[in-house]
Amino acid sequence: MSTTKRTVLLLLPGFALFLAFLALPLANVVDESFRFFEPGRIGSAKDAPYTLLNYAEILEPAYLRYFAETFRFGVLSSLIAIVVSFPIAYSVARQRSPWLRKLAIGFFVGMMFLSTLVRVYALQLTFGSTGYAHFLAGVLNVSPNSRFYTELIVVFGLLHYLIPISVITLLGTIQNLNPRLIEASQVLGASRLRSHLSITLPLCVPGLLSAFLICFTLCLSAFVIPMVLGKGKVLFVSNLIYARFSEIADYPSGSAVAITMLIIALIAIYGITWLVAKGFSNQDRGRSS
Amino acid sequence: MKRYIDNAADWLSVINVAVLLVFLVVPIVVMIGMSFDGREYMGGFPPSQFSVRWYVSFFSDAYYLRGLSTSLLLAVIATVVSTTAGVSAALALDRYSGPGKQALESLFISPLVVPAVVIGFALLLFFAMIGISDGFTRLVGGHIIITFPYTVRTTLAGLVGIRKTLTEAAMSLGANERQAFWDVTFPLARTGIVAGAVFAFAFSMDDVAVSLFLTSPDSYTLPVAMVSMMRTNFDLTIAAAAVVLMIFTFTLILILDWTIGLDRLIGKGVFRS
Amino acid sequence: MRVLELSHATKRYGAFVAVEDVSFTVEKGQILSLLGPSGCGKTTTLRLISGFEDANEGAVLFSGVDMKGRRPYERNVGLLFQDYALFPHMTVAENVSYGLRRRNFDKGKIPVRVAEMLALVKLKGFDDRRPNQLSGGQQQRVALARALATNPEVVLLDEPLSALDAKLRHELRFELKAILSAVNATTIVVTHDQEEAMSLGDSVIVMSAGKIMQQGAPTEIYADPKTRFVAEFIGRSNWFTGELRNSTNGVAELKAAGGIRMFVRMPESSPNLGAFDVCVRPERIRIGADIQSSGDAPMNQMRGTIRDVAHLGADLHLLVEIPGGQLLTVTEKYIGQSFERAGQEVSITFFPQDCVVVPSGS
Repeated sequence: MSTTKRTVLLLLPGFALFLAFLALPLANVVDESFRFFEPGRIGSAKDAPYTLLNYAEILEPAYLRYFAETFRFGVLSSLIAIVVSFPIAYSVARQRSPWLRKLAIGFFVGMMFLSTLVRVYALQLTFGSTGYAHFLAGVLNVSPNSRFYTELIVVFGLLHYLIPISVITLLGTIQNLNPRLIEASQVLGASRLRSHLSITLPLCVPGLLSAFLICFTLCLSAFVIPMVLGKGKVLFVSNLIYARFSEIADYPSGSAVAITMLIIALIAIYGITWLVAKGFSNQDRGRSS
Repeated sequence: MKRYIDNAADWLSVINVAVLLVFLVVPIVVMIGMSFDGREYMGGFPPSQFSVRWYVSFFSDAYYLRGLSTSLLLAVIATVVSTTAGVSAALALDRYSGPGKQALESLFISPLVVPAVVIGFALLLFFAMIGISDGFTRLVGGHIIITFPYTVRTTLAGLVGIRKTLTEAAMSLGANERQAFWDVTFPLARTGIVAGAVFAFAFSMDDVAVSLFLTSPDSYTLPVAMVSMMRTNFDLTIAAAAVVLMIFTFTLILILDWTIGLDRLIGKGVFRS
Repeated sequence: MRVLELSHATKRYGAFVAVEDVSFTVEKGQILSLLGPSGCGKTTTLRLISGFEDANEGAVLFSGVDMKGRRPYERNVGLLFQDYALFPHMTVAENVSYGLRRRNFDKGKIPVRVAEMLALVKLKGFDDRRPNQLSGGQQQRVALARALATNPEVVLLDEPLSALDAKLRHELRFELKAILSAVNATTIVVTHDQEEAMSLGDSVIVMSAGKIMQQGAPTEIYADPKTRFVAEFIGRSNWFTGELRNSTNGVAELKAAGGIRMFVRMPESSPNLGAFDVCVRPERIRIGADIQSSGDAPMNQMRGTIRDVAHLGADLHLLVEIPGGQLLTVTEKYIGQSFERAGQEVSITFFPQDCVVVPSGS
């Protein structure tokens, strides 16, 4: 058997899965998103006429709100997550005691693997009415039923999910960093904090960017966290799609939202990947000249 | 002056660690504590009486048990199918070096990039269009596609470390291509494959977003059952269910640590998006 | 007995010609070194012999049998990889026995053969170690034992010592040669290291750009390079460029730049006078010696100034400036004390026989 033939044969099962369970369904969603929807039906009619209405709808403020909310929560939570994770990742990476290191890594990997649902439920119990809701709301001087409190709990939910992932991602970056650089800077008279700010941080920029990117894309597609912790007050785009399906069966509109969301996610991922790559090559050019 | 700044920074980072640990661990402790609550009314944490009645209730509730058995069966099927396809795709990608290699790789990783809700929604419409209404079949499709990228990725990461000369050495010693694969490549790639399978299993057990679209009244997963109970009931059986699910997760991590070592997973690009 | 023969082998990758019209033969028990810089086609030649590549033209013959289309496992070749390629998940004994198992050796005899091979490479008692528990030199010997275990028709060594540090490389070179001759292996050594090629090989082939530049015994290649490339690749040399004339009795006169005139040995095969390059090896030049030209034989003699003296263990390296400004490298045996100092004026002499003429720019 020739090498090419074998390669094709090996690729075939994966390709079939990709086609059947991703490519064709998505193509169908694209088609559906341009179909006219008659209220009261389940999905569009078989030969419904094509229309741009479903996309036009998204530009209405009522819909844009979902996107804005998703973005706002995403950016905020991702930023907090990488800011608090970085020092922790740093101390784990530079941990001298092997068993402490292993314990820390085990802890964060464990937290990362923790089922989202378990996490969400644990937070609900802890910060809900049977937990510390009154205490926390009292400290912050807000009502536990206020929108602010709900938003806070949603951010908590996202952070609980994002922090372990950021720590693990940043750990990889920091481990590739030469610790001698910091020592050199300290020998030259900089304080430790200053050495970190002027040396560690800039060198970790690509790692921080990609950690942020991972967090942000995970927030974009967050579903269970706003659904359970948002109590209907905070809703992400994912929840909008689910509502289109479960409440009014308006598949064309759901499709248009889904496609828009997919495009935004792709832009976020490939756009930032591209930016990071471009930043790298600029740095290289700066170095060689 | 410098020393004061450094001291302040040290204290800040100690506080940061402490707050984070509390934030990450306390909810889990509360949940475990509440799952052993023995009171007759819905009270605050910590419980004043303890019992295992919520566990008894979980393991005697047909609704949850059905969800659990569906989840397990689904995870096993999805893991087997996606690991088989993923390993074979990774092998092909590893050997192939012609044009489009990068494109093929991103193609197989792409289910990771598409938001889970979009996948669930798209599959729902697609299955409706081609006339498949059986809940379990739909769930199998959904779970295969969300677990597939992990198996491709971890297997590829494992294969990259295997030098080409090892295969050539086997062939020069009399092994044909198939023998060289089973004697050398496969045993060395095994850790990557196992990691992929464990990931696949874990993500299948954990999924809500895709499953929620594809369930039917008689085929639903444990997480879906828990979500619907969470919205309608206020009952600590969910806490017991969550603890059971958590024990599952930690067992998987122990398996992963035992077969590969957690240290080796980091920096291998498994978690990169 | 002619164990291996390459006949006009050519290998192309697209437009790139990796190996062009390469022919040579290796006799039973002979060690042939393939020497050349990276990218010269020596590794491709090795892959043609081992069967990982097939020649586009020409043939590879094992004991007269054309190997065309035979996969590596259908040839009996022992291959020692540059990175050793020991199977990390197998023990030393499992590594060594792998080929025996795959080539369907009598099962009962395998342990005996493994013990025999490990004794040969002086690794008795290492059976159950894993490759990562061995030093670089030990790994190399396990790899050699594994390659030799099946009693291959041809043994191919790919840069066998390059992964080791300099001292170990020196020791292992002789050990390797002893082991190969103990089993009377027909061997090809591929290397970019001239010392390795010369010390291991009974015969050396110098390759460049996919072609064979010269083949011969190590001493012959060193003493009588046919091209400037070969001379420069093997050993150090001092170069003079100029016109040849007045060829008599196998000795010609070279008029080089800077007004230098010297007598050189006339190459047998180039009767044409004209532009040539002349190579003089550093150890062939003597300093301050009052060598009288014996009889009629002409002798090259010039004045020079020592610019630098470096002691390198047993050798003394001198840099001598001659009239015209050219710097010559001269090496002498260090015999406990040296009289040469930088700045000193000396006379240098060398024999015409030691001046090797090659076509200019070759």
